[in-house]
Order: sequence, then structure tokens, then C-alpha cells
Amino acid sequence: MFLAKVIGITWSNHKHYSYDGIEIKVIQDVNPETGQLIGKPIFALDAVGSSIGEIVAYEVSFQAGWAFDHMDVLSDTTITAIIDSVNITKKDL
Amino acid sequence: MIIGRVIGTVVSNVKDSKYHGYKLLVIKEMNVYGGYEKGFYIAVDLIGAGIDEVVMLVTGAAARGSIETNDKGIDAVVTAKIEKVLFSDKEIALK
Repeated sequence: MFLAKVIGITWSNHKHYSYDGIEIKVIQDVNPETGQLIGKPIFALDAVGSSIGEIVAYEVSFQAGWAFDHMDVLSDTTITAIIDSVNITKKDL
Repeated sequence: MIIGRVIGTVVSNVKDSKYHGYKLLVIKEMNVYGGYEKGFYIAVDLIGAGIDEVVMLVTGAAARGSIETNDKGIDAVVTAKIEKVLFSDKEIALK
């Protein structure tokens, strides 16, 4: 699982029947130490009802489809948690 | 997931029997802002997408997660047409 920020939402009228009632969001990875955006933005299904600007956790690959109530959702990236805070203890390596 | 524009279809007479009944699309990868990326994909069409439309792709093992693609040798499926992306400061129509 990874930390990301929701940066956009999408409009899609024609989609697979398994996506009924599910929103597609645009997310970009966040560096947990600095809070800065890193990497390329990607698309993700939303299982928790997040909104633009929120920090979320998302899961990838096969199990991403299992975040929903029915098992046959086609998804390789799913937002599964809204993050309230991150605690990091810095140590000299 | 990633998005891309449908730029063509694939014709194949000799293929895995589990592909029968599905259209295979050639897709050119795009980024979220509507620009093109380097990659190309061949993907199974589950929604009836047409040429020149911007679609979303599910790739990898997750592509086998539905009833239609379960137990088949498929690792990329087209699952949605994307019409518009809204950011906090701008709106991009993908047409």
C-alpha cells in the first residue's frame, strides 16, 4: 500500500457494470517525510469516498478488486483509507 | 489504472480459444493531463469502446478479476470511457 493525495476526479458515463456507484479518482504519490507530491498521477477506484486534497492510502494489483462488497470489480488500484496523520521518527542511519 | 486512446484493433485468426468473442484494441498510453506517453497496449474490450475514444485500462493480474475474464490468459482490459478529468484548478476534456 502507498500514500497518495487525491488531485482530481473523473467523469465517465460509459463504464463496466461492476463500476456502478464507484467513483474514479486521480491520485499522485506523496512523500511521507516532506508531504511533497512525487511520481506520475494515476487513476484509482474509490472504496471510501475521498475528496480532492485528502491524503489517502491505496492498494495495487490483484487484491485491489477485493476492497468492494462484491468480488468481481475490475481494479488494479483502489483507495482504501483516508489518512488523518502520519508519525515518522527520524533516526541517523 | 492508466488511460489511453484507442488507435486501432487487432485481427487474429489463430488465437487462444479463450479469446473468442472479445475484441482486441490497440491503445496508445496517455497521461492524466491528456498528453501522450511512450507505451502501447493490446487490451481486451469489455465495454464496446470505439476508435479514437479515451479509455481506462486495468492491467496485470487484476484484469482477471471479473466474471468475463476469470481463468483466462488476459492481462489488460478496457473498463471505462473517460470523458473529463477535473482538478482543483482546471478541467480537462479528453476527446
